[in-house]
Amino acid sequence: MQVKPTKNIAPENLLLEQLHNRDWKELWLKLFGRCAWILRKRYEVKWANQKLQSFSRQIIAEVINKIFIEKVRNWNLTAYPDFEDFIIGAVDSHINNTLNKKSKEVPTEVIEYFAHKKGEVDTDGSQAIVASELKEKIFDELKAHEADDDELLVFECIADGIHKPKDIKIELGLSDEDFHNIWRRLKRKREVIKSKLAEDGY
Amino acid sequence: MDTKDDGKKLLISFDNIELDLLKNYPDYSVQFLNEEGFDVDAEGIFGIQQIKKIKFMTQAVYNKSKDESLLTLALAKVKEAIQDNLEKTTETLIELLQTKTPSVQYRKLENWTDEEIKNVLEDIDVIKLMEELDKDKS
Repeated sequence: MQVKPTKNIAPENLLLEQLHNRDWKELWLKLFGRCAWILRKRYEVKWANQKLQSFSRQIIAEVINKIFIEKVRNWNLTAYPDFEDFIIGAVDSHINNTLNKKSKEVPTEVIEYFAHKKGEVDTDGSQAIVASELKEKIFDELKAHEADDDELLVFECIADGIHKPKDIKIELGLSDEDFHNIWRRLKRKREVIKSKLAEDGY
Repeated sequence: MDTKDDGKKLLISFDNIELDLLKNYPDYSVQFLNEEGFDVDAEGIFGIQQIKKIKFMTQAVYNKSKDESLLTLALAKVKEAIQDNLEKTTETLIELLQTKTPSVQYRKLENWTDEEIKNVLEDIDVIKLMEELDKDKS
């Protein structure tokens, strides 16, 4: 018989420690950035900045309230040893629940993606995630869209299964700033990759 | 051999890298918000104000529970004092009450319910009352 692991809920003092000792300006901006990205890129909402801002603020404020005041969102230390991971998970699921309740315009596959997979790529270590034939096709497509050598190197890392920024930086010997700049250029070509995949039946 | 999943995995990897950068690199997060047209300074100030509110509310909840336990303690002490010396306890309590509301007439404590005593205790300095009751006792 399988024994269900007991929940290890953070006590009051640990919660208060997070509330009083954390750099909340930094965390608020991270959460706000995440909300904006998820809403725009994942849920593909077409809201103007003002609506996106008020929705994101409402989501973050409600999650914080549920954790510290209403105490209905418990911090499970076993599942989330890190407070930031916990609050990020809570924000993701609150966005999902709120949009699910509010609107029919959100594509079902998006809701399923966040509800079940949480965006995890199911790969084992640095195992290649894309077979070589597809990798070559995308490589050529990126090149045709003027991706430079640095972008192509980063793309190759991702296709080869290196998908953590810190690992890619180590692999290519890049500084944070250099990697961020290369990534900003490469991520703008995500639509190029998406179109190519669709064109080739992926 | 390529599978349909390969394409999906590749796009998910792109998204995961972006989310990782937003989570682990505050500078990247700030730059992302700037690029998206948000006023980062104003958003930071708004965030700090929200947290101040939450800190204030947690303090209020803490104070409320502290007040409630103090009230329960005071009620137990008043009940004990009533049993020891009804006259003296009534006198002490009424003296304290009359400093707050001098015009009101008070009845003898023996006819009061717990709820009535508790309501009255909410209006007075319970710490002072407990000190007075201790003094009366000794």
